[in-house]
Amino acid sequence: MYITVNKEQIDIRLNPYIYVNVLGPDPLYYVELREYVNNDNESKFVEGYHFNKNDEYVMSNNFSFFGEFYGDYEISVYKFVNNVGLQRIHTHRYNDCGKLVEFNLETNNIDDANTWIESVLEYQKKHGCIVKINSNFEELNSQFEYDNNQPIYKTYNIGRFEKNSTDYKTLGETRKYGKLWFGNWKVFWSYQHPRNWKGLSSKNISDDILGLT
Amino acid sequence: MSSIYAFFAGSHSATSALVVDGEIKYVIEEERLSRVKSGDDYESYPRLSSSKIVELSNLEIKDTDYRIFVEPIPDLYAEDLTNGNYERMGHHDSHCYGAYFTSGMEGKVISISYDGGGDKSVMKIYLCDDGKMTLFRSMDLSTFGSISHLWGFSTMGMMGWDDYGVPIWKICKDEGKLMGMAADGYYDQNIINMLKTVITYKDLKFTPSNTGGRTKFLIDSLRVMGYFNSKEQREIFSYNLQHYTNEMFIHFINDLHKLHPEYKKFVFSGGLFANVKLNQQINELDFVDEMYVYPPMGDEGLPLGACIKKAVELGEITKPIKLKNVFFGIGYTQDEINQDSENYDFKKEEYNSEVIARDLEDGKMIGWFQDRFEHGPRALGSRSILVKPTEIKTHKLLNERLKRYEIMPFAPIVMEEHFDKIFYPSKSKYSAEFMTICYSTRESWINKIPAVIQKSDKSARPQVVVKNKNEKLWDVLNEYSKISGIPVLLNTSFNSHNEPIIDSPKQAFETLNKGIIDKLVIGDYVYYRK
Repeated sequence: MYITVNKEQIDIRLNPYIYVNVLGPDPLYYVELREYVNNDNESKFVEGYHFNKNDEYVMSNNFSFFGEFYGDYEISVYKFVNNVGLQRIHTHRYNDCGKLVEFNLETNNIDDANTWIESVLEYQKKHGCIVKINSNFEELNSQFEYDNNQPIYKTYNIGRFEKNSTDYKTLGETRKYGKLWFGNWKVFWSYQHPRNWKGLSSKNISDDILGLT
Repeated sequence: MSSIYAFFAGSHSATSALVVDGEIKYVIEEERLSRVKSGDDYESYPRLSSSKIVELSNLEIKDTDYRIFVEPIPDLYAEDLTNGNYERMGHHDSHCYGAYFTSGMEGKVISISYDGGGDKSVMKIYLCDDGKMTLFRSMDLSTFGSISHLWGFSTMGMMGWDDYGVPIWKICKDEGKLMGMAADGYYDQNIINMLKTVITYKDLKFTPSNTGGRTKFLIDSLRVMGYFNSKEQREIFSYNLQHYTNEMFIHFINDLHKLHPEYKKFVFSGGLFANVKLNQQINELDFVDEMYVYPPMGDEGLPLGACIKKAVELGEITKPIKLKNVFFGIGYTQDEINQDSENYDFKKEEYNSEVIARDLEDGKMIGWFQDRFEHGPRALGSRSILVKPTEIKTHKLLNERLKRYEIMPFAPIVMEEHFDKIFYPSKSKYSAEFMTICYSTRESWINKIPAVIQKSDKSARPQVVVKNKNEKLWDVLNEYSKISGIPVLLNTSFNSHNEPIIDSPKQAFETLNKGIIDKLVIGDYVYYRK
């Protein structure tokens, strides 16, 4: 979704992961990703990114955070204003109430699919979103009605995904366990799973991905 | 009774420590041996210092009862050094225990550590009483901000980067330059307003977190618009950085005092308390009866703190003690010194404090090499350069000889007996034995010792010299006092610009040979060029 704030054009996407780009007249912008854990009033810092259009050494001119599973995220975009300092020009807090959320059930096993639908229904009850199901079982998909013209706010892929070679950001002590670290506190197993799914029950896997555990 | 090795390693301040039967045997910072100043090394492991302690103590690491790495830990290195047989110790716990148990304080004491972050916290507060420590609060790094990061990232960003992408001023190394520059700035509400968008204080909380990233954005933006191009602007920014730091932290200490009014003694550790101007503000609070800053207040103090915490857990340390000194490094015998001197054609005389006092009065720069070298950032009379404090031109001379370009004022050493007539307030003098707090100078002394007085606010960072703790240094002060009527000398660290403080006689002799100092007092002898 593109948002225009004064002279700045901000592109924020949540699918399949968080992506932010800021187009504007200033050379410098700052994006900060924070997360509210367990409905705490104070958010925790996850990642920050400095846009510097003048810096040839900057690797990328957009910010991405590759975790695909649920998080109560808040994305803020700042610009610098002389004698003021950091001025927040836009904030987006994750909120899918009344929005279309897509759930891809990556399984050929009907028991898995039924279990994961249970988690989806819990998620819907908790968040108040509109559900779209994509699975190999048409009878499950057709249980949920939605407006095809409504844009998809967020997609969740539920399955047993192997770690991807792009799952980098392994640091220090956790390297041998293959965990990912963000913001010095947020630990997860891969971009698609908060925990290593091997050894988890089918219900645990979907609850993990949807933030229900 | 037990032997305990502890280490800190990672990106800066690598250090090794050994405590045996509750007694501090050795603490050695890696930079003293590697000769690369902490902060200039991006990968910092205590390879040389750990080997040196093994050599000096004849105690192999594997043969000790406990091997401890302080969080955060480079696991592979820890495994390599200890064959996987080690335990972890909390970062702020090590700070707080090290500080409290070397404070010598009795009764109710609050121990606070605050830095840029360690084991996921920026701060811990312990309530202490009669050797027992109870955790009152821990502020996690992901939720709370860090004043240390405000300083670190301001330091790193202010001067930009060189052609190789290396910051010209470095985090964990050059923060003192900003503190020094602050003296020449003035209040600017706009700077304060901008700093408030990075971090604020309220109700015992510094928020938001990620102070480093937010500071970087602010400083980069100011630098891009050319704000830091002028020296005056850098001074103004630094002044307001110091002012805002004091304002936030004093507010915090006041709030803490309201919660626990029965606690009137405070001990501090962590990098924030390298800021002697902040320490001065705390010491001047009416409700603070006494404060103490852990002499190795930065992360170099963690291994000793970890050893102390382990010794406390084992019941081998039960009450806070007072340190006689922090000379925990390497010492050299007179034979070793004599052997090194043979490489030079120097004149040699037996040490005589009256002669040296007269040399000082004549304006000579005296290299002072005694005992084992100090642990922590300050030269405290083991590896020092002594100069008379009575002439302001000494600044220029010292900076030229030592190739220093910093605007940091030089510090005085003062006989304990004369402290109160020169400086105030008259408290926390044990902490001042380690040069960790600034004091105000009494009006009548400002013009007598101008080389060691901060010209803007007339403060100084004195080291109190106690006769029965360092008799030789006290004696030369006493002799100088008899000649000049001034019981004060200028004491600066025995090193050139951007170098760690020296370790060995060879380095001291080389300094003399280059003409940087006029005489070298080393062991029982005095050397000078023919």
